[in-house]
Amino acid sequence: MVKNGKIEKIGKNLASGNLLTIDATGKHLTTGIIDEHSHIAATSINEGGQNSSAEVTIEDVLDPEDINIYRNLAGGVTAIQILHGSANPIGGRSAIIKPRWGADAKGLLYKDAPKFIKFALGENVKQSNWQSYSRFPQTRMGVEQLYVNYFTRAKEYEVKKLSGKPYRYDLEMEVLVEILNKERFISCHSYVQSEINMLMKVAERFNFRINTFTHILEGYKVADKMREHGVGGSTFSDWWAYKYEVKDAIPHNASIMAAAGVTVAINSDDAEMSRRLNQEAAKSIKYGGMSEEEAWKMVTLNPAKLLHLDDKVGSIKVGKDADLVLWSDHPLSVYAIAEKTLIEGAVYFDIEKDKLQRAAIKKEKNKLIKLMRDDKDKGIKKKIPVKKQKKQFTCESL
Amino acid sequence: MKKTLFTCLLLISVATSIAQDYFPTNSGLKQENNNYTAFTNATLYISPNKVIKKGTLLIQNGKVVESGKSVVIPDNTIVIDLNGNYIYPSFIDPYSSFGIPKTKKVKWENGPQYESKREGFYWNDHVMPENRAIDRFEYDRKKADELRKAGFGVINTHIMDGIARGTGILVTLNDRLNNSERIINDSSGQYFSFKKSEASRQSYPSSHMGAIALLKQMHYDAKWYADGHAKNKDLSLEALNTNKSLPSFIESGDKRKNINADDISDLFDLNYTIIGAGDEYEAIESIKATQSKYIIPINFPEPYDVSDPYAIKYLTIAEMRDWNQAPTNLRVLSKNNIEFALTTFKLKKVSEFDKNLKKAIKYGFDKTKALEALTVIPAAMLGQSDKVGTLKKGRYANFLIMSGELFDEETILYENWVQGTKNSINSLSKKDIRGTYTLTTDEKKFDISIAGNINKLKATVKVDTLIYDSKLSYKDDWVTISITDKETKDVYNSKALIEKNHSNFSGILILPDGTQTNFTALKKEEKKEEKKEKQKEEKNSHVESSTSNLSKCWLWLFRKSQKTNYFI
Amino acid sequence: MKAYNLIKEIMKTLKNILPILIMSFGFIVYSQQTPAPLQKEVLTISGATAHIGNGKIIQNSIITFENGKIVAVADATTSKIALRGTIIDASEKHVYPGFIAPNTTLGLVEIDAVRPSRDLDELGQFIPNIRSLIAYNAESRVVESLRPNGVLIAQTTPRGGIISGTSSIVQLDAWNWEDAAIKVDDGIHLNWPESYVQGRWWLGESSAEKPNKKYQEELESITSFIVNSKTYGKSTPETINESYKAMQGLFRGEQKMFIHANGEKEMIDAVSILKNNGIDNLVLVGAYEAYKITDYLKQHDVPVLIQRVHTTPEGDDDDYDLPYKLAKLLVEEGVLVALQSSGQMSRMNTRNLPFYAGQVVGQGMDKEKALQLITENPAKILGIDNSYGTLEVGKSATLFISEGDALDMMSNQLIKAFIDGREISLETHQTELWKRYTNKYSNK
Repeated sequence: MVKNGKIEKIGKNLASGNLLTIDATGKHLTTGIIDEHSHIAATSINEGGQNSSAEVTIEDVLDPEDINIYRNLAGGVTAIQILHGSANPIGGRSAIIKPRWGADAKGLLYKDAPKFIKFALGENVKQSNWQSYSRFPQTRMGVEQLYVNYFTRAKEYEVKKLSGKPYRYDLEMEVLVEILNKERFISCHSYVQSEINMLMKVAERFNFRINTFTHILEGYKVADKMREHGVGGSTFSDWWAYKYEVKDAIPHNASIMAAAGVTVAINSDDAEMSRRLNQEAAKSIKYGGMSEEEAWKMVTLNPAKLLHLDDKVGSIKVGKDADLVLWSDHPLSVYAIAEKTLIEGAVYFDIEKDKLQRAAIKKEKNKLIKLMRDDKDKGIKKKIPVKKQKKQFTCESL
Repeated sequence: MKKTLFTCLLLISVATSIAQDYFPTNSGLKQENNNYTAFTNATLYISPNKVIKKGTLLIQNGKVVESGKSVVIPDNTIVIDLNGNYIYPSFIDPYSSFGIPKTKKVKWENGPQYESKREGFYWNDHVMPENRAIDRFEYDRKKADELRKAGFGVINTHIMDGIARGTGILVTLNDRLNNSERIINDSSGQYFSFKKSEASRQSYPSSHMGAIALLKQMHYDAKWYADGHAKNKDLSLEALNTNKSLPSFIESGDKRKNINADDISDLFDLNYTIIGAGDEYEAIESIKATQSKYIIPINFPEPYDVSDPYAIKYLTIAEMRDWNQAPTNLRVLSKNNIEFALTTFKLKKVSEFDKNLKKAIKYGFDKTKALEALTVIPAAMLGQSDKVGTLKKGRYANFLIMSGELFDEETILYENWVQGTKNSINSLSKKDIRGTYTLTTDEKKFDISIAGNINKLKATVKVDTLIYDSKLSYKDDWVTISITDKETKDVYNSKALIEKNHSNFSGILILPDGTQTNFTALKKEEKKEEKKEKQKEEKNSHVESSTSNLSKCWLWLFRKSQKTNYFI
Repeated sequence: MKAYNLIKEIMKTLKNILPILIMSFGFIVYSQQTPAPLQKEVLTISGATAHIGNGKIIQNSIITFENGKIVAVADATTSKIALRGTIIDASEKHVYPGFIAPNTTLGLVEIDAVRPSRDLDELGQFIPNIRSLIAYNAESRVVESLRPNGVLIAQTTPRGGIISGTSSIVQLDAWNWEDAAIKVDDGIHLNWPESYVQGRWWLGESSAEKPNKKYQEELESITSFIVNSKTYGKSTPETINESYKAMQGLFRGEQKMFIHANGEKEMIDAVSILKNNGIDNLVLVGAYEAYKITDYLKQHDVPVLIQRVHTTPEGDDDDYDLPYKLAKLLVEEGVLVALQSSGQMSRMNTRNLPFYAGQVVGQGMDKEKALQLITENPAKILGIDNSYGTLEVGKSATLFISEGDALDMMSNQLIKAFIDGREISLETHQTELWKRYTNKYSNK
């Protein structure tokens, strides 16, 4: 039973009263899927002009008209973290949204969400895969020194700030200070075990913890250290063989990390996979023998935990937001289709409505084409339709 | 005719002498012309909301001396009776790069450039508040002519390059004077955008979010610098601080960037005037919430060629809706009480301005509001209301003489006066010769009907019911009609001088066999009812069948979420 | 004496543990799996649900194979045949024909970002003589990672240019490309020009796709090449032209031409031009808009290797699930369709081929029909259906046993797999790392 956007009651044979009843006989109801690492719904993803871009924020560049928002809803996703790309060791601040299709940019934002920032390790930040050789750092060794330097300067900045003497307000330093004060959490793009270990040590040195390692394809190699540090892992189900640093990536990564006690989430980093995160989670049942409950948690409760939102979303519990998905079949099965997706009690995707809208759009298109054809303004040379290529962003997009 | 020529010459000499009064003259005698010019019997719009029927506008030395119903006319005044023709203040374009050559693109080199290439300026090469439009300005006669034809008298121009672009200048479109007299304001405002400069390869900012952060940090640094804490010299920040009190303009690029611009404006109390992109109607609530002033381009999307079925599948519904609804933007903005000025910015040709604005009016934009958006509002944005925007006492003599109400299809723009200098666009005295006539020769009796747009007249020639091919041209008071018999290929050529006071006209006629003779075309009286019917018809044909779609505006995309209580 | 006995004792222990030592040593050193030896004994799988691959299913089956071939497929409830050879009890489990992955680039690239490992795309526009088979790395770690998911056969194809080259069909458990080859030089691949091309951003053009002004010109260059190839083959050439020579199989009907095209206009142009010039055995690859021209395809008997199921729709206005259901739309109209995995990170994604079929089931297709899309249909389209693609007597014993439904990632769990009757290893570089690190944490 859902009231005022929240889950009011759960049970059998509840009295329905005069509430709108949705008959879900034979179907499966789950909480909505949460994607911890996505690049949809934004008009730019990477600020690669400097090796640290903490001063930028994805919240400034959200694109509420990106059709991928609708496609995600059709895949049962109800909360998404839009992350900055992996062009720099220190990236920009992220935006956490609920895919409220039809809202404007401010309307997408998750109200009072915890604050996050993207960090990155690996080949991308040292610009290995494109022709740029002059920006520090160009090796993994340099990456460590960059972090130490920025955090040291941030500490010095804070001292100056609190001293009462005049200081130059620096947007970037302000954000780094938030990290040092545990007010902003880091989600760090990472691959090989050496760099994963390095960053944990740097954080410990400065007295804070990394919140999430994302991609973390060699996380299984240092899962014990991760557990000790208290960091979570947000990974792909089975991607590998695309860069040298993923040669040891295995699809059993999630299972091993989870067995070692790390909070593991499965993410998409990709507009295509974000529609099928339920299937991606199910792959860990195959690779590593994870249980169905644990697998389902990887796209619901665990990402909620990693985003510090698990008191509000991530499971069907009285008091939590009514972010729900009605599936045609077992949600972890490849055969399942989302029939309804609700965000805080409002239906944002309905498979029946989708069919009706398709017909309506076709009708409208025909009408508009007729109008265009009849536009006899002779002074204008009519434009030839072009196919707009909408850019699908990934971590590497510059 | 001769009278007009004489007046012209007089005015030329007036114009040249007012300006350089303390400059020595070596080409002749140094003498002044302090004659007045008065336009009487005009439907005089002193401002968009103040109109005086049978009013008088008195000007001298490029400025308005007096305007109103009863104006004392001094003895040394050239009086021009306008016979009810309309006078409007001429238009101001607040956002342009008129006279500023396009910035050359920097040479390509291998590898990205991360550091700045300048010394003594801001650390980022795309921030150039020290730039000044006046340093690069070159008056462009050809463009000025196009702008005057569209009704503009004053244009605000700046260097359209970079994230912080420096200061601009406010210039009149007066061919006769030189820059010292044309430039009303040499520091008309500060200009910003989110786009990088063509002249620098510095990588940062490589994204829109970087540009936003850069603008913010620039303002923080400007304050830091102004408080005297910086250890280095920064000419960019110095300029930014010096020009703090000038009006600020930022070019956004789309409806969402309008919000980004407004956020920066609010953060630093900059009171930005935002140059939008024409898509404000798609998110009008959020635009309204910015409580900002805007400059809105009217480069409506052109229709697509929908003849190829394989091509139209690429047309998305969003693009089609955009084409259909973009002309409603001005009406939507205005209905939501958002203050905005219009501009020719983004139009491929200045000549599209008039056509597009008329289209917007057809789609529901109020005419008076349109005039405000072209006169008083941009004047206020630029802080120049005491000089331009209205025809009140002391303002520049910048006005349009029109045959009828502004923005009417039938109205002709006769003259565009800039700083008291006349620019003739269509002959004021040109008579409207539309109507039906009979032209009789020895053998044939032609029924000629002249109709159509006042600037593009077309003749339909019939003998009884048989239609003949014809060509008509009407220039400088002479009308030339050539008629061809489709079957025999016989050609009749005629030319006549149109006299003001007569409905009929007569002239020479060259017959097919070459003999020259005379002819008279007699005007037929049109029944009054017929005329009314015609006018009504023309009005109704403008109603767009697409207005019914307005109510379905973006319904698919912009649903309101319904908080319903469910039982699942 | 005592010393001798001691040594004997040591030797005895050594003898016992030696095999284990060797095995574990081998386990660590050889990260590629050793290809399986030939089938020595008769094998019978009994009790499993057999998914034949042609739409039929036998709940309680008996499958016997000998010397690499299937000799018996029967329903245990009705048949009285004897269970011969070694019996593998597979009750409650499922048997499938080995899945076939057409149009891949397996074995030609090891790591995308590492240029030295890329052997995908040779210089030249019209290079049908370029052959993928000889660059196929039979020991690729990516190739071996496909087997535990049930993909046992693949077509490996060059890319690039207008005519990319000649493909071949391989089985995925082999020492080298020669051993791997099932069908050598099976087809030639043609990338049909697009009537819309992307703007060149480096020249300042908008990135939107505009009509391709050179489309007609490009078509003519293709027609010209084909006409010249055909003409070349009519007589004994004075000098050998490898490119023209490589095309002869098409005119003789021995090879197929795979046309990579997605648009309606492109597909119709391609089929029409090629048939008019004597190439009749055609296959369309990609064919995103094929659902609009099913009658034309049926009329010309052109099968389709449909665009990868797990891709996002092309246009903003396309149905959100269009790529999921494209196969179904075509099958409903009677077109012969198979699934393939080309696209983003195609090689490693080929192991998801079974789940592409599963996705189509979710769109409303019967499970066994969806299974056909990755078994019998690709076998027919690639021309290997006399030996592969279904569990039928006389065909190769290329099959596997799965704990559960192999089209669903929840239940796809291979226990055993066979290629030509040889029981192949289901270990991979990845399963080894999995075991090694699982042990690390449990041994702490």
